[in-house]
Amino acid sequence: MKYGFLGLVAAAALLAGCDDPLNPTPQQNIPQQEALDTPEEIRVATNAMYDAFQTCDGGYCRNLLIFPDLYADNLRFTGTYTTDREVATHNVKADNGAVAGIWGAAYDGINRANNIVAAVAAVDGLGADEAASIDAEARFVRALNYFTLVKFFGGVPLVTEPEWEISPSVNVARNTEGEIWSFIESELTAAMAALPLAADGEQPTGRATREAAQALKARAHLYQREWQQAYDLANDLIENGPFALEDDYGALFNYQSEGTDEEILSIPFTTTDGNSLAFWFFPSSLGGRRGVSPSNSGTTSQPLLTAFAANDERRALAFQGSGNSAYAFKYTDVATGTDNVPVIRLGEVYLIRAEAAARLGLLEQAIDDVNTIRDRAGVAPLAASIDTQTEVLLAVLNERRLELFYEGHRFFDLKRFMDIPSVATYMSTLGLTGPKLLFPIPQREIDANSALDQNPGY
Amino acid sequence: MTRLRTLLAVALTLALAPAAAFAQGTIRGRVTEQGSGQALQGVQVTVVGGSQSVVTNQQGAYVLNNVPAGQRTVRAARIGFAAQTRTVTVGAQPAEANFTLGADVLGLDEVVVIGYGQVERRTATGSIASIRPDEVTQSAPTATIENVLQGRVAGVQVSQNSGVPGSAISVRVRGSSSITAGNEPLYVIDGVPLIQGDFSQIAIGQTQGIDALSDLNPNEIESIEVLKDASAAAIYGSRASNGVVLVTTKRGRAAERPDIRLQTYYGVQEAWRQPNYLNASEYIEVYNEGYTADGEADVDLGGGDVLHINLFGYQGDDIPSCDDWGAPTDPLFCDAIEVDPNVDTDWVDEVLQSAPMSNLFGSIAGGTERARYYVSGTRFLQDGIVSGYGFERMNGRLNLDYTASDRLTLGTSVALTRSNIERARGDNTIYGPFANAIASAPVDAVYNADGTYNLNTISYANPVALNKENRAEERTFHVLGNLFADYRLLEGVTARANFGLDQYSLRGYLYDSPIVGAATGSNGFGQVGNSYATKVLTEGTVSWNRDLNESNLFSGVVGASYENNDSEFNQVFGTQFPTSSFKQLASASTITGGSSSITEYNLMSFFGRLQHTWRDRFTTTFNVRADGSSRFGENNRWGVFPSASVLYRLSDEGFFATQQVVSDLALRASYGRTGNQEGLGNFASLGLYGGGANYGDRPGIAPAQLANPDLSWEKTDQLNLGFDAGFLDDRLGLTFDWYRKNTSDLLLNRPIPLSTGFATITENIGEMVNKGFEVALRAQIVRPSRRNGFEWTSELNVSHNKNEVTQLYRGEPINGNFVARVEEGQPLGFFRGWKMEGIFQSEDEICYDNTGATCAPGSAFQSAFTVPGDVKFADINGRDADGELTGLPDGLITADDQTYIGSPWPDYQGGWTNSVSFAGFDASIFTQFSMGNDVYNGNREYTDAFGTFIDNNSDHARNRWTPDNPSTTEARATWYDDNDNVRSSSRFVEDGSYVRIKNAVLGYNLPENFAGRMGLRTMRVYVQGQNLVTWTDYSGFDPEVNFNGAASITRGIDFYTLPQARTLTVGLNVGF
Repeated sequence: MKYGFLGLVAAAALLAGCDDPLNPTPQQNIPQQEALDTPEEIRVATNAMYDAFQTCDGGYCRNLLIFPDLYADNLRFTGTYTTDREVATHNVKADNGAVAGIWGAAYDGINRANNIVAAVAAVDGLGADEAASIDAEARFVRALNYFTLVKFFGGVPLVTEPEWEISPSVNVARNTEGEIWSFIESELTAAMAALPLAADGEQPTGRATREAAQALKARAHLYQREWQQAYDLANDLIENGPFALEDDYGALFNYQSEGTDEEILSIPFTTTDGNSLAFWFFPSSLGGRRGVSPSNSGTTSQPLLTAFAANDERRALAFQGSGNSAYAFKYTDVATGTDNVPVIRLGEVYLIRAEAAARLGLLEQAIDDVNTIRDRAGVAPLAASIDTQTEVLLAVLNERRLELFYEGHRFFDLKRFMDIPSVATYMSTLGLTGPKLLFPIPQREIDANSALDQNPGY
Repeated sequence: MTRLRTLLAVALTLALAPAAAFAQGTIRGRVTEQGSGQALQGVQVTVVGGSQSVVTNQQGAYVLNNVPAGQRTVRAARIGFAAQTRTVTVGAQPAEANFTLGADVLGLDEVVVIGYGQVERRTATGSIASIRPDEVTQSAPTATIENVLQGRVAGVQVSQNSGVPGSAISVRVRGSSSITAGNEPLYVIDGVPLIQGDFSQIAIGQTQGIDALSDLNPNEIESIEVLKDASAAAIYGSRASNGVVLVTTKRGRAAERPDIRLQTYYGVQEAWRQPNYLNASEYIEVYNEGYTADGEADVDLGGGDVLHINLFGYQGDDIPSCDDWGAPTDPLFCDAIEVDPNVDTDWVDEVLQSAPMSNLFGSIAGGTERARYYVSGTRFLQDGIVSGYGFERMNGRLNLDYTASDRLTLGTSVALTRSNIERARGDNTIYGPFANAIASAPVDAVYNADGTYNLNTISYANPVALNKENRAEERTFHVLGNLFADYRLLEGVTARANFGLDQYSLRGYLYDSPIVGAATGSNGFGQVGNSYATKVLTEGTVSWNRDLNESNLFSGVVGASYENNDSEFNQVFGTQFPTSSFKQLASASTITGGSSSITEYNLMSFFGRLQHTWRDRFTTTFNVRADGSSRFGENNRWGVFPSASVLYRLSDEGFFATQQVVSDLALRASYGRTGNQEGLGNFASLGLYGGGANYGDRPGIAPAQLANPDLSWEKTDQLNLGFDAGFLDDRLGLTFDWYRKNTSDLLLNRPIPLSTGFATITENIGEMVNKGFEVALRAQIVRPSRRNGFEWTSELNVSHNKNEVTQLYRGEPINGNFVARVEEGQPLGFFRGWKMEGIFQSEDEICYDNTGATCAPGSAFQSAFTVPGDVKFADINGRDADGELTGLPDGLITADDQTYIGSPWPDYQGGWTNSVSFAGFDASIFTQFSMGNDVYNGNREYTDAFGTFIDNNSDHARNRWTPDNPSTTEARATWYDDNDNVRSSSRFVEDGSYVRIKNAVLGYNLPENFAGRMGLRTMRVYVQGQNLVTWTDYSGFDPEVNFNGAASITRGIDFYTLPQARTLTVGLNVGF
């Protein structure tokens, strides 16, 4: 009797549960093995590649745009985050969590893309064109992420295959900077071959197009000091591409009316998926936190606050208010963070052409391009006295600052111009020399990956 | 399920039928107290092996009806008295059995609840501590079950964490045995494991969590047993590593008249201490000094002219301005911040308040031998000492027992709880009222001249406005119930079916006003969410308790159980509210987000215990449980947890009678294995893709986690050696236990290279050891010579635990919040940081070589801008050319120079209770102590950043380094702090030892005849004080602190944590 009773309870226990009580099915996830085998799954996984760009720690939501300016001379630290403070004081420690965030977000995006590249060819029901296009998008995403990695960290591990088993093989050593650059170039070349044209209007907003790949490639050549290739790609895009400079600089950054002909690729943010830029820019009286502010004379000898001519239309986006309480204003939706954030736009492509031209000795072309940008901002053309190559280059550098502030360029621009002695001197007054020209490889990564070496000086 | 129900009904019918057929009789008698000879009321008289049980009345008399005829053993027991048995023959005539009970100081005759059963203390082989909350709460009302445990049980460390009403309290049984899987014990209430943990909806900074456990009402609890060693706990298998707390609620007992109780108290709470912060003029002085020291104050006007500007200047004073100097270069920076000379705000004072707390409890218990009931209701109210916080709880309980026949007893327990927790953003945010009160500058006024809030503060959002305008509230509804049937199969063999339900619902609500705080930019922010958690338990056991012969007693239990757990979570948020009067989400014009989640896990178990007692002397116990959990990986689906223990009562040996000193001595030993599976995510062993990776409002799926089919529970092997001794006729009782807990297969989120696209994988990797001992001493120092004579008892418990993490993945350390760290060879969550060596007094002491090569021995490069007055840190480590640590100074202060700077774990902790009573008066003082633990005062990273963050500074700033005040402990004022004086260092580690009069109470019991004249059975009035006096060297608000209450690793860290209150209470208990 007693055993019967026990058995009965055990049986009841089994009946009360599901068919296999110790193997319930998750309701919010799908098994990895079955995740990417239908066209629908591949398509939604493609969206998710870009989602990795939207993180705040490591993406376009915040740090990717703020850190290069905070590390250099456009922004100063007015907050409480140690991670920001280290960047502002050029004293970035290897355990800086936000820097690890940049590394992590990039590789997260790369892994999402690697999974797609590995799976897309074998998916039944996906047309050859669509498969090729998705493959090209994944390559573009990998290129953009490796671009972020190489400019912050130098050479990094080149990972191109998805990894679902943890074995010693995940401990990948750093490739050289050159290897990363050539991977970026080959990926962008492949992407340009198969991506849809922006002009066709098929690609949803915020996703890669052939032109976006071309613009990014121009920038990649610029960083590698391959002036002719940079010039050619930028020139082609300006002369033959479907884009046009927006007349009103402010309209480029107006979250209430988004979408201009100048945007080549922007990361869209929405009410449910917002960025936090305006929140970190705006003072608390306007609902922000003002963790960073435009640089003033206390932080640098060339503060952003005094960099603009009085009639420069861009000045109002660089800052509002004055003095110690001035705050940045380029992204302004403090409530929901829906400002779309430019990855690359035609304005920058003009300046890429200008820089490459100046380097190639085509000074007139360079001055023309700079003036095109200045004209749009309502400021006078460059003084006629600017006529040597160095002067033109410095004008390009300055124009990049006035045009592309808070878009994640400043530190890398200064670094690229350090062959000019005055820039090198200026960088050393900022404390940006030697090892400081690269960020530290995140300590947690060095701890986790025995094959990694730290950058010198950290 | 339906089949089971049918069968139960059949069993019930069968059981009822023969009941009438047996011949029955009556047993009656009277119980008196040994010595005084007075009648003893409230003694439970039970027929051994039967279901009849009554309680003696005021005259000490009892009557047991419907006792089956024949030889019957009757047992009389009352807490505090040694139980007695009498054997009588029940027949046509009423049998008589009288008892005279003597004191049972050691409680050897008390019944101790163990897993799936109960034993007499005399034969309990495991390390089990028992508490009767009535003994605690009667003298000292407590809000939660953890408060009842605090300081009363050796080896159980209860930390209040904070003074946030309704917040989670952490309990550690014999130290921490896990890094990620949780260290809270398993709570089982009336046989049903409880839903535990934080289901909060509101993310408000790393603040104090809430806990479903706080819904339990101590007033309803009959006894709490803490199962500490493996022998006692192993029957709970994969959830028992952190110890098990068994809670038994009160039940009705057959009695002549119902026992009605009304208890109420009212108290006032206030901060027991308030550290000092700077006033407005000191604040301005420090900041201007810091500003000047770093050259920020000087504006180069060209031509050798320098304009000196302070950071702050008083309105009306002649503040130098650029205008004074004609056309300055940079007009934006030539003005000091003007402050009103009449403003000097003590922000902490502004948010602290003296807050009431009260409790009203009523219960009625009684019944007949057939049907018994216990009904109670409670309302508890507590406001926070920081305005805006509060906790309100209403409990109702109905416990019923029905003896259907000689064989069958049915029962149910139903508890309903509604609680309402008023919260506020806290700790690690810049919108927490208390944090902002500490941080806000005293030069900011609370209100403008027109009476509106001053929202134009120079530092942080106005904490008074935050408090009044913003809301954070969580409301829970908790149903806890079980239904059981006991069926006596044979003499001494009983089958039990138990069905339990724990249903927890929580609604969270957060509102940030458009006026102040996080949502001024979005015109108000609202959030509403719901959490549901359900646990359904189906369980069957068969237990036996039989004398094989005179000398061999066997008892035991076998059983099976199945538990289904699911939880759901959803929330919606919105912004853009019409005005600050509209606080509900329905008024939000933009819904900015929402989410939901659902998950489940199932647990199937088989378990058993066999206990054998030989001649009352040797008792051996074996326990085993097999747990199958859906959380475990497919390669490790079932875990088996065995234990064995032995008890040898030496004092029963003949040779013991020859001496008078030692009156009782029992030796105990146990060994066994328990597990911990709390840290396992419900589907953590699977490789998954997840949704939600959306982009531009288009859906996306992305890799979510890596698979680990080997994932399993954490394992703890525990050895326990102990003894219980009584001396001098049991007037002095001593319990000693030594234990060693080896925990292995710790669940760790092993960091994997981010270049894989994943950050971590959960694996069973680490190992940890806890070793320690516990001493509990109970002495009846003065024994009353007569009833209501002078009595003095003293109870002391002291425990020591040493924790050491012995293995981590590849020896890689894990960082917690702030300085908390896990490292091999160190205790869990020890503090790691830079070591402060002192303050630089002159430039000669500072090394400016940024390679460190030419630094003099003992000095090291810290920063290019380090100057006298900055903190000197110890150079203790460096790296060689290959980047490997050398363990030698390298002339550079880097991250490698961080080292052990303290530990949050006490060397000794415990409690000491002294109770005296005389002629109706009673008084008790309960002192709790913790010695040798450190507190990391994280506030000081900001409050002691003199002149740096705009935050107000602590009074340490008064002793800051200046050329005229060469302080060796406090740094200089600096605006930039290039030297990073406020980095996490030993500068902020303080001795957190404390001795605290946790509770002192003075009460008076009205004489019974006097009470009787008022129509009352008993009446007691008392006054009580909590946290009356605290002795500590800690400089912050409260040394009993954990800013991140729920965390396993982060302990003993203070970061804007709400302090505990000192409470004065008056109370009245009456019984009818």
